[in-house]
Amino acid sequence: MGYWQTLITYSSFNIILALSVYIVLSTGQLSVAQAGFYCIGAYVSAMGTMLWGIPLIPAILLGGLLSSLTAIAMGIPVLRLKGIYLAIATLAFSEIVRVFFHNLKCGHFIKADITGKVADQWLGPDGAVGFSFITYNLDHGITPLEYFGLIILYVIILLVFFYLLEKSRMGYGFSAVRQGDAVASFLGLNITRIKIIAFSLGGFIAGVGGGLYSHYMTVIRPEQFDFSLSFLAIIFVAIGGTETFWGSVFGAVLLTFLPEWLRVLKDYRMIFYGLILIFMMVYRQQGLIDRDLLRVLRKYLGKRR
Amino acid sequence: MIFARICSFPAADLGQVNKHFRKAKMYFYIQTLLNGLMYGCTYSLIAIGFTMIFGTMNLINLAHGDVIMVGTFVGIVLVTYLKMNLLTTFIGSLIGAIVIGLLVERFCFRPLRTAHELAPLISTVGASIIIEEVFTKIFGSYTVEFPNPFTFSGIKMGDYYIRTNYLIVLILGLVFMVLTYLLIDKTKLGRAMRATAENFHAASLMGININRIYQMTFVVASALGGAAGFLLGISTSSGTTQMGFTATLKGLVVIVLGGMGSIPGAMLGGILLGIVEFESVFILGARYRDAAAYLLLFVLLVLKPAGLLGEKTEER
Repeated sequence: MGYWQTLITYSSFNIILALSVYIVLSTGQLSVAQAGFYCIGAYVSAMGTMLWGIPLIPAILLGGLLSSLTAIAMGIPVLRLKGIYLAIATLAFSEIVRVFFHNLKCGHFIKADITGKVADQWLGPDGAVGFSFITYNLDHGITPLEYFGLIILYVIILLVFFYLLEKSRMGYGFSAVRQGDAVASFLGLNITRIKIIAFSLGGFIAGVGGGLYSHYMTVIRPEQFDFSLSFLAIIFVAIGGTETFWGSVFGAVLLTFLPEWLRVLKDYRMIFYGLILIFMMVYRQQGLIDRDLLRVLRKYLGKRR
Repeated sequence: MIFARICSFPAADLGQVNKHFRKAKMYFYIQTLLNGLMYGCTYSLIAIGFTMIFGTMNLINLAHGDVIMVGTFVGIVLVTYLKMNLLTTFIGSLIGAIVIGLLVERFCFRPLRTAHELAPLISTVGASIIIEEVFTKIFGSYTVEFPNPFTFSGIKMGDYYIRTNYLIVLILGLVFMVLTYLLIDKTKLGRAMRATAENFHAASLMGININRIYQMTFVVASALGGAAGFLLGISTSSGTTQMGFTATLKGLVVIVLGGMGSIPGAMLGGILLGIVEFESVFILGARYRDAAAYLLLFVLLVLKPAGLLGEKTEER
């Protein structure tokens, strides 16, 4: 049970990251900064609960809000760029965020245990060492199962949100911008506004995910949030499918479970992981789940579109 | 250190102290600048191969760093186990890198010619994972020594010191840059490459064999990568299997700084990055080294998206 619960938790975190990449990608923009927003959410919410005494859920929302604001602040200057230039600018931004937390030190000492025999520990972000002892759940009697429920709840909220978004006016606006700026502006859409909204939503989704992550892990280090995490999130989306959000969800779950299934290959599993990435891109570039597949599935399930 | 000696001057002679202090500080700035310039040349070499592939194919090869790593490790094997001299080792590095580069082109790029721009990024990440894992299986994940005669040698120029291996990197880097420039601007092959970069449909209608041009681009770019790997191995006297990823990242930063697809831009961008990194370590401390480099990149992208020497295009 614990094994599956852990795996599902990890897939949930990956789903959150993948969806935050997907929402930016659904306006045709490739962002490599999602790990940075995840990092902001993780640190701010942990500081909120452990240092400023804010309850858990408001603290996590605060982290998400701050990520979202940062995303807007970053989005306004970089959205003039396109394609690979935008990707690299966001990557640079994400690394700046990481280095900021790498150098951040605030907080105070705490007694590690009541007897005082163990040396004092630093509570708060401690530079490269990271933020240890995020024990809010333990201190306030939130059981792992309850917290697991909270994570699942967030994922369900996200799925409902994306389902509604796809059918909404805003969702159609997103896909119009994705088809091309010229087309979208011809339709009378405010392209910059739509892109900024997508960026801020992506930042918010990732930031809240980061807050959930830090309180689950209880220890975070700035190195965990480097560009390889962003790349991983993009790989989830690219493998799962870039056309619909179910693709991102599927990709995140699949690639979380795949290393477990590849365990039989022992030390060679990373090589197979790489081979799968190449084969996927060669034989199915749009990702595993695309619109056609969804249509077939819907027909099969006897639903009308 | 010199600082300590200056600080123990008699207090009465404050003006003199300040003068010496300023002079000493100036000395360190300049020495750091020289080191940064020299080290930046390795970044330039990494970036030239990168920018060539982008210039011809409009695609980013995220496995280029691992091609460089292969260059270093072929060099290490030839020097350590086969006891070859440096020239044969150098040629060996080039050949090893070219083989890997051609494999990457065959399996990660050729089937994806018409795909959207994300697809080759992911497939080359896959290739990068495979190459790194295979080499880690063979050599382990520790730093391996690259024995070479330049490890501890330096040249004194006036008051300043220059490490011999950095000087070799600088000279060979310039030589390669000129050779690449001549290849692209003066030969028939280079003209075909430029035509392909312009519009590969039109180029293929003009009777240019696109597959061959892409292969040749990869041969040249990977040879440059192999040379970069060899020189990186010499300048640090070591190699690790994880260096590929770092090299890819630095290469990306440099080609954006210099302007995507521009070879002089890659050279200039590499040297600029080297200087910024070294000076920021000296002025701000080592913790801010990466932040300074990325901040420079971010600001430049926002202010001048085409890069320092990039061509102006409408869509960036």
